[in-house]
Amino acid sequence: MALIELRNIRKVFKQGDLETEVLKGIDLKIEKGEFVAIMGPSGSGKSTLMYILGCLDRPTSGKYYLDGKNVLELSDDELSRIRGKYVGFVFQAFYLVPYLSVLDNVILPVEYLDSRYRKELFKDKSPEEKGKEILKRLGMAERINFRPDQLSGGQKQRTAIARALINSPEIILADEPTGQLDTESGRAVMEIFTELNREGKTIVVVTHDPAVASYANRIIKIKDGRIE
Amino acid sequence: MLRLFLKDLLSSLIYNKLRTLFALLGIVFGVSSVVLIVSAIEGSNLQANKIIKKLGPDSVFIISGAIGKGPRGVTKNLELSDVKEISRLEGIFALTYGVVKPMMISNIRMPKFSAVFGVGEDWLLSWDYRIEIGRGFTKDDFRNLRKVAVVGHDVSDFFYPGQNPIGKIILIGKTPFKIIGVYKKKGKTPNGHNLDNRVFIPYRVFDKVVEKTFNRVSVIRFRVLDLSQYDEIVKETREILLKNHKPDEFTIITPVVVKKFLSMLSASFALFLGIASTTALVVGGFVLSSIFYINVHVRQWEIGLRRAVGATKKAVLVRILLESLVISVFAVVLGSLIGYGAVHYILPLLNVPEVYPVKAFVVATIFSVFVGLLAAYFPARKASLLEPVKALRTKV
Repeated sequence: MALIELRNIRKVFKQGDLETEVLKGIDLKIEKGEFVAIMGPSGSGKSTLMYILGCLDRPTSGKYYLDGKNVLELSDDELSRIRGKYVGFVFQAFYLVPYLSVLDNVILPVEYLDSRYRKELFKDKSPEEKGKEILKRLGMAERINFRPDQLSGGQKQRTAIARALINSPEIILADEPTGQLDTESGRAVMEIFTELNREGKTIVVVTHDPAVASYANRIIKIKDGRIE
Repeated sequence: MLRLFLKDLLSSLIYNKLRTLFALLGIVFGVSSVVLIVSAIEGSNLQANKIIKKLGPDSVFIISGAIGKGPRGVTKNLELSDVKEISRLEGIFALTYGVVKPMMISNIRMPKFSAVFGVGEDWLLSWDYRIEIGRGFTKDDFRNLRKVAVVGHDVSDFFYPGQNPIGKIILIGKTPFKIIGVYKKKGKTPNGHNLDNRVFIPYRVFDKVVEKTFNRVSVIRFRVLDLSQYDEIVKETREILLKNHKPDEFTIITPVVVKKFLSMLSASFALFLGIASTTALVVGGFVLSSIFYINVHVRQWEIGLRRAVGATKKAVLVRILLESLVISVFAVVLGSLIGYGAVHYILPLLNVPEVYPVKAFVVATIFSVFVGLLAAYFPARKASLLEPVKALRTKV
């Protein structure tokens, strides 16, 4: 059974009388442990697809099985729990909370886990310990008490990756993770993803950059709302 | 976990200092005025109770004329026959009556303006004037129309400073009176009348020497033995008086009437403060609300991010309400300090005793928390209903 299975996913945006069909029937399977790049020009619907994969947005129609569960039948609250548990997001704009330290940004998602799962997940290590460990591994050991505005772009994205990893999710979803980084930092970030994938994490990267996509094992090209 | 949650919550308030400050100030003004008004009302009540205590909770006090119409004590609608009728009532004691005339008195060398009372027997007992030096009136004083006077300290100290005033002479008009007693200091009435600048002489003597009374009196007073009979006795008294007088020729003053009158006086004051504090709180609430609207707007992406990492709608709602709650609680502390400070400076100016009731703090806390939560609820709800994807896209 595939970790992710999409069947005939459609997404229509309505703006007044104007309807725009962004996704026009997507069928997609992603196995556990894959490293997939979704490529396409801007406006192709690739980001929308990623948000649907991350249970942050709902398709207009279609079916989505995540780990065998039909997630579109779930309530908003249940979807929130699923996101916290299964999905780690990495965004182009980092989205680090400006008033929290690097470490507190990393452990922020722990706040929203349901308490039983949280206890289970952190029974050996506290969130702080685990957060420090991940940051150390990503070369951020000396920056744990810094504020986001004291970090370089590459450091910010590494913080964001650490945040995506804190709840040990099955899937890492990254939307143009190198978009605001210089080539060097971008390469470092992609190497982190490669390493995480080697350890068994399922990684989905959305990008328009072939260099970024080249790190993936499989490239899915999307154009005008359809997989090519 | 709670630690992270609190750190997360408080950091956001500290980081957005200016916003927190403005939101805080809005509520602080409301809170301090609530504290002030509740304290003021408590103070006024305390004062009313003091006045009632001074008047005596068991006393029935009848004054000539209608209350609030012209100077009291000047009209003499009541008559000695009324006193006689009332004296037949059972269950009363210390029945007395009197007339008053503000006038010059002297000891030949120095004149002094004072209030001269022609009083019935038991006046001193009925009004609770306690003799400090000398003696009070005796039946003989009244029977024999003796020219004797019981005076207050301001009178005796003025004419005979440092001397024993007993047996000394004061002139009322041109008639010499012998001072037989000085009563203990009573201070001032809440209206500012000096209770120690008074001269009491027997009613009949007053009639002969000071001013013809034609058997009329200005005030009648007695006390009730058993408080449970109080209302009944007041009713009977009224019936007796109505036989010979029109309803507006006299007023029966009871503690209930005093309380009513005093609350009438403080009502305008309370109303003013009430409007002021309500306005302050409502304005504070709107300030808080709009600051939170702006804040939620500016932080859309942050809310989107929190939703993306697992926050439910409810978690977002609760978080923003809590931010407001923290502000409200701080506002209560700060506003109470300012409010109690205002009590210290403002209440004395209004002739209200300075009190610091806990009730004021409790009321202010309830108001502040209520306004804080209500004001933040709508922006919080808006935030919780944001679509995460759209919210995230607000940051470029």
